[in-house]
Amino acid sequence: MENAKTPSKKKLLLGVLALVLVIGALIGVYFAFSPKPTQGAKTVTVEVIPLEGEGKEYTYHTDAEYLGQLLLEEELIEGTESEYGLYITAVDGIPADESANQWWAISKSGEMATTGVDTTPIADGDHFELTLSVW
Amino acid sequence: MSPVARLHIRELAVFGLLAALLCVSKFALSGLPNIEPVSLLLILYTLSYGKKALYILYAWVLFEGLLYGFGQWFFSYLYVWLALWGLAMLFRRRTGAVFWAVVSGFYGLLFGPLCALSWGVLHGPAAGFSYWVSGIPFDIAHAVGNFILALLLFRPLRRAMDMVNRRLCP
Repeated sequence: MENAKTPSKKKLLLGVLALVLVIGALIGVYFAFSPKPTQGAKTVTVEVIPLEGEGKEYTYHTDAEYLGQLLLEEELIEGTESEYGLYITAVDGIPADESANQWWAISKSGEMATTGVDTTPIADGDHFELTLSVW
Repeated sequence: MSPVARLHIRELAVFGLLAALLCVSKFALSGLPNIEPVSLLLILYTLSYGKKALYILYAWVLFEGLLYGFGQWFFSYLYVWLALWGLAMLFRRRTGAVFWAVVSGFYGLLFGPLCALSWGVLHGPAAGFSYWVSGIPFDIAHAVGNFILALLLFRPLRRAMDMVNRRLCP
């Protein structure tokens, strides 16, 4: 009976170990492939695209490493902290109307950002768009 | 009509309550990113009801869509949880809490890449890969949360499910 139980316990321990190893591997993947901030002076453009009317473009010279840091320093955005990071509530004085399902989408050179505004690194020459969207 | 489609009136009522339990329990832990009891509950529902657990699953998915809006996330919800149901069906005969904690933990790690699939289809493979990588910390939290919840709650909740089934769905 004990021999019948032991292999099962071994398999379970192997399962737990495998889970830990996979988590370790994923941590490695994350640090290898996640976007990295660059230090030093950078020139970045930010285009604000409202629902109606023409958009505006701003050019910044900054040492900031992340987009959120830059936009807060330049007072271009307002936001609230959430468990997922900074959530943009207004850009250039234009609030997102939550009751109308509006939100400010972040994209870089036309491609939707996969990180939040405060975890999106910036590099020299980057072009970001902040687009008031409806979902 | 196939056996799966035939539901007893008691099952309809119980399944509705169990779907509501998914909503409420997820909402209760919504302040903790990617810490959710849905994985464990879906496993338990599958162990109890097999194919019929899909009724509960998709009633909950539909309600989530109504509650939070049918955004891009909804498309991934249509298949992501089906993967967990499939895993639970595959190992339906297993009864150990540690086993299901490991399965639930692995599913937590799979959640991100599964969601990234729909992102990749809509925005391209590079965007899908980037979406997955940026979500890895949340996937790890998801896996650890799933593991701990299953380890602690699998047995007591299994007993509760058995009691519900004996009394309400004989």
